[in-house]
Amino acid sequence: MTAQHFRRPAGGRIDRGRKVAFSFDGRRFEGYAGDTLASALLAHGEQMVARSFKYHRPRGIVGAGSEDPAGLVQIGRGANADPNTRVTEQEIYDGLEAIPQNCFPSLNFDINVLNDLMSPFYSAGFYYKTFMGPPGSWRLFEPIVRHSAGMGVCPAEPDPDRYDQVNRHCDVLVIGGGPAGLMAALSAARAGARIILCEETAEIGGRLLSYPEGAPTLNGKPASAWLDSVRGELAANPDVTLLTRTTVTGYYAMNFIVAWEKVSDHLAPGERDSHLPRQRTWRIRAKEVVLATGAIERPLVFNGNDRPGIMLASAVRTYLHRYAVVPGRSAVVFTNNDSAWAAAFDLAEAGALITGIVDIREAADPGLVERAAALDIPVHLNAVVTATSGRKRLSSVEIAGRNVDTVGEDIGRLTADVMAVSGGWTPNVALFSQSRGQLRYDNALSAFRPGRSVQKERSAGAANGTYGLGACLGEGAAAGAAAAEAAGFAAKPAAPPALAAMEPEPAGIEALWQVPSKLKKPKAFVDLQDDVKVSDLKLAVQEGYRSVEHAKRYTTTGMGTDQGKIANMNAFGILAGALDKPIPAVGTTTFRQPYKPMTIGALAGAHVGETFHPRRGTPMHHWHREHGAVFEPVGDWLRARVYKRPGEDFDAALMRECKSARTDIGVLDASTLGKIDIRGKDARTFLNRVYTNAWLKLAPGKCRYGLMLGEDGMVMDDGVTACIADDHFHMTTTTGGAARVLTWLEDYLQTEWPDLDVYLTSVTEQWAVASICGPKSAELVAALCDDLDPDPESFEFMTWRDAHIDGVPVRVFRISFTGELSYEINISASYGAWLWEKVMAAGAPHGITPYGTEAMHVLRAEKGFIIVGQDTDGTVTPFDLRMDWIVKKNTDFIGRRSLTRSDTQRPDRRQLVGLVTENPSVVLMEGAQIIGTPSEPTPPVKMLGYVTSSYFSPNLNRSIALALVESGGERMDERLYVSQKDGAPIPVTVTETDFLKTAEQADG
Amino acid sequence: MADPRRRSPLAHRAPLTAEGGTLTIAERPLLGRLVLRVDADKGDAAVATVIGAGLPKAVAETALSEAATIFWLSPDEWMIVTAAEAEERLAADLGAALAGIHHQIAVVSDYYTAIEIAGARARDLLSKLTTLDMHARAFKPGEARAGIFAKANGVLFQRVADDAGGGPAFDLAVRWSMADYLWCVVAEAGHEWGLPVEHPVAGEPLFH
Repeated sequence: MTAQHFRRPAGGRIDRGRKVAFSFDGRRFEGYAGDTLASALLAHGEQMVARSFKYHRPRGIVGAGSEDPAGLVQIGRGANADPNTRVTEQEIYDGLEAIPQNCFPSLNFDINVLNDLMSPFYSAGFYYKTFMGPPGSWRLFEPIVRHSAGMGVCPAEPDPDRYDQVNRHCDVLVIGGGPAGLMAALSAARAGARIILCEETAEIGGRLLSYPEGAPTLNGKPASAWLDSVRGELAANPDVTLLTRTTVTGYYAMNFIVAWEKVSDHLAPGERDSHLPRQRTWRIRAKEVVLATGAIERPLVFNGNDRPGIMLASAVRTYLHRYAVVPGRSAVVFTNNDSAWAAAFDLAEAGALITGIVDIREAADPGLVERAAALDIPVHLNAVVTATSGRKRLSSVEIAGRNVDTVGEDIGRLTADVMAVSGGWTPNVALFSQSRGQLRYDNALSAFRPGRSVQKERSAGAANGTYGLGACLGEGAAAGAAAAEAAGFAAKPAAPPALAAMEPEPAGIEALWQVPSKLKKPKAFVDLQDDVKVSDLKLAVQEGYRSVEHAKRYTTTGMGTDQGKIANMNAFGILAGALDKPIPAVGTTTFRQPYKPMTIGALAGAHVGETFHPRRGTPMHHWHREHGAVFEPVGDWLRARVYKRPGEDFDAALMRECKSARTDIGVLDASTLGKIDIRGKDARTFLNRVYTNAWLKLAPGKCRYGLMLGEDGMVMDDGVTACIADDHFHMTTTTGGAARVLTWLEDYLQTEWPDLDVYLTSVTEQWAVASICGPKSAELVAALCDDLDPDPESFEFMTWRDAHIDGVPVRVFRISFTGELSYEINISASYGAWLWEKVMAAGAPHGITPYGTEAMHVLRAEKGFIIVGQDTDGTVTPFDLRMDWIVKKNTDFIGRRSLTRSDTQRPDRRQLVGLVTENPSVVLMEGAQIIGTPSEPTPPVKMLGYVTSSYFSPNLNRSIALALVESGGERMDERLYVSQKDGAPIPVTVTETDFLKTAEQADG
Repeated sequence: MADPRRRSPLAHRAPLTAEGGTLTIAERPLLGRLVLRVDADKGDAAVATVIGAGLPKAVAETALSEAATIFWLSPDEWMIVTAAEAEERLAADLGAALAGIHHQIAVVSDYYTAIEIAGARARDLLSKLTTLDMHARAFKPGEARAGIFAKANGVLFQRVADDAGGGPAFDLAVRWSMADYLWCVVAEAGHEWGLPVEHPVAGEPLFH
């Protein structure tokens, strides 16, 4: 382990009392608590941390936060591996293992560096060109590209971590914990508003953490003292939620904002609180928002600008002061504005040798020039960097004079292992733009800044293009107060602290989007993550990609995990130059959510695994589980599909259940059927309008089956409705259709027929239902009920009776979905489990058999009863089902008009029929297509329809099927064929759908 | 005392207390519940004669009396909560009082159960499950709101005020079939403050 040779002897926001051991690229290092991976590596003089995406060129640490373009590594291994983590954001902990990605076999020796030599072939639009190239060229290149390109590897194992989502409302959401954001939060909090403050890094302070201690002072004290007092005041206020390590990733409509908190990622796995999630998504609904997201420094674009050691000047200052690391021993500063001069002074102060300040401008602030002279720093005005050297880290810099857009005379070579670069500052407008706010270009800043707002937000400080510290503090305070006022609080701006001992600030910028070069094709990178050079952007324009959005996609500039945070503004400037248009005419690419990549785990929260989605169970669910049931999902319900006895397979259990229901007694848990209580004097009129058949004369005590159609005349739902009293009905719907039907009926009552006196209430789960069926069921019902004579002669089919079982009220319906003698016993759900046990005990002497939904399907198909959604598909009318008898002739109902359309009256519509195979043991495949010829002709093949339901019926001892067949009703006894994937079409005969009746007639 | 033959949706779940004592969850089983639908102005007086409180008229409002608590669900729809097995009698009395006024009374006691979520962290727990504003300024004692909790429909009622000894207590009414799911999701949301992990009953493996 090497020593931290580049660590300053004192200062910084690190805890020197807590050493932290970690590894990077298989080597062991040591840092301090409070370090990021980047600062700890820089403390050891490590600059190169990654290889670039396309050319596998060495990539160093450029920034000091989420703006860093290419310093991506994988943290940890196996299921816990976290790829594409930015070294500038990951805090170190004991045992942290950082693994370089996108290189093989190692960071220092990477085979794919060959891509760099091949770079002339991988120019802009390489993918597009292979797509568009000779047939097959993409197929040839794809495996090669996929192997060498890539952004880390996703772990294959399930994610072992826990994630969380929280909803929060607030009066004022402040995004950004820098000077402006803190003043905004103080102002709004003092007014009594509910505040959420989100800070992306580990602690509040923003740029104040990147300044030398004591320069500036706030209220005569160092910045850290002021920050302590602010932190204390905010923490003591119960209506302030201060979130650090929290990035606002999305700004959506109606001030809905998503923030992503990294709760545990900064801790060693052993130190993480097992009760806390790894990460948490905050779903925030804010009345007002203050955007204090700061500004991002952008680099200058020059030949050889991608070597490790070339950093943003602001990042250099952050490492010097926040982390107490000197990023190099000899340094060059290259700038187009005043702020970077401070980096030179700070580096000199920290003991580095400044071999030159290279400023593209003809003149700089005289005070800065004087200060440089006092520190013996050579200053080169009106000069540019023309080349750099050093294989894996910077060693020297060549500079020359500048002659406007060309290179002047050579000045010489400067020794440097670090270069601090500043091309000016860009307000961080990503979230403002996501909020649909309009950007406007500011010539003085050479950047886009917030223009017209669309949502209830305001930008403050550097995010608003206000760079001076004093102005930022004041603007933040005003924005916080204004936001609190807008949210309904009397507020006034908090008084900003008095500033003294100020450092140079971003001022006097002269835009230079592309530094002149002596070379025809300089290696001047615009986007360091995606390896996009100036020449790529120019090629894109040359090849006709003139819109900024097209050029982005053609070159991939501004894409990837960094979304071009430091690259975009330079790219817009270069495109504007190439197009010979002003920058506002070129515009920007679209800022989209998320601001930076989130984990899928944080998006899913706790909606994973067994709590992914509700599994609805009936009151008898526990009994089913204890008696061998295998379940099937029906909507969100789990219904028992079959009950397997020990040693029995699925088919054997199914056959047994089907038989028992017709020879002895079967019982089905029918609790899931939708149930709607209907009340009011117009209830009959209502039913008469929603069902296709007549309801005006159904007497109390009777039941009727009904079909509901959509406005298009197609079958939507079906079920039995019972008349309880003249103004009171009990409707049942399909299990899956329950919620939809209720909503639809309520919609009709509220919007179409408000004149009808009808109320609806869902009572689906108020009732548990045991549906008893089979020849011996009357005996069982007689034994069960205290006060009901179940004799089918007197208790007629399609009627219902109130009764009691051991004194508990029940409602018994004489309705059937099997064609067999049936009784459906409805009981209050809390008695459901008791009733079921009771039925099983009383039925035992009669050989009662519980049956599941699969047997139900077979039994109803034997009788030719349809299942809406299986035998219908939204294109089927009652006539298509050959249920003409259920459609009344003279009065209106929903869908009636559509049944008179020429299309719904076509004679060749598909109609529901039965199909029997010539070989009774062959069971057709559901969904199989029906054709008219014994062998498949050459395509296109005329399809006559398809099989909707198909089973082996143990009661008929043969296979049966239902099918929708063109003009099916006209084809009785016709021979058709059902195609199959492997083998000749299967011959079938068209029959009526009631197979039981057909069999009886044949016997009779 | 409810009939012992009855079983509540969460009868298989025992109350849970967080390690630090800042949260408890428990089922409040088998309460009497009715849904009443009626024109608010026409039904108000009749309801008041039976319950001793009129119909609440706006979102979140409730009406309390010794006989029952009334939650506003929509402009012509209320849920009335009463003691276990008192609902049939209450339904009959309301029906008699509302005779001649178009209305609907549906007994839904067994359709729903309630999960009580109580303790200092109850609001924080609930804010993980609902988009409703759970701040004490926004959701006040005695208020009830319907909404989606995780992926289940529910009606949330603050029964005990925040300044009561053990912190606030909320009753979250949920449909029978969703109760076990919601119970487990509530426990998961409270894991941060020490509630144990609960596994849904479910029914996997499915099919064969």
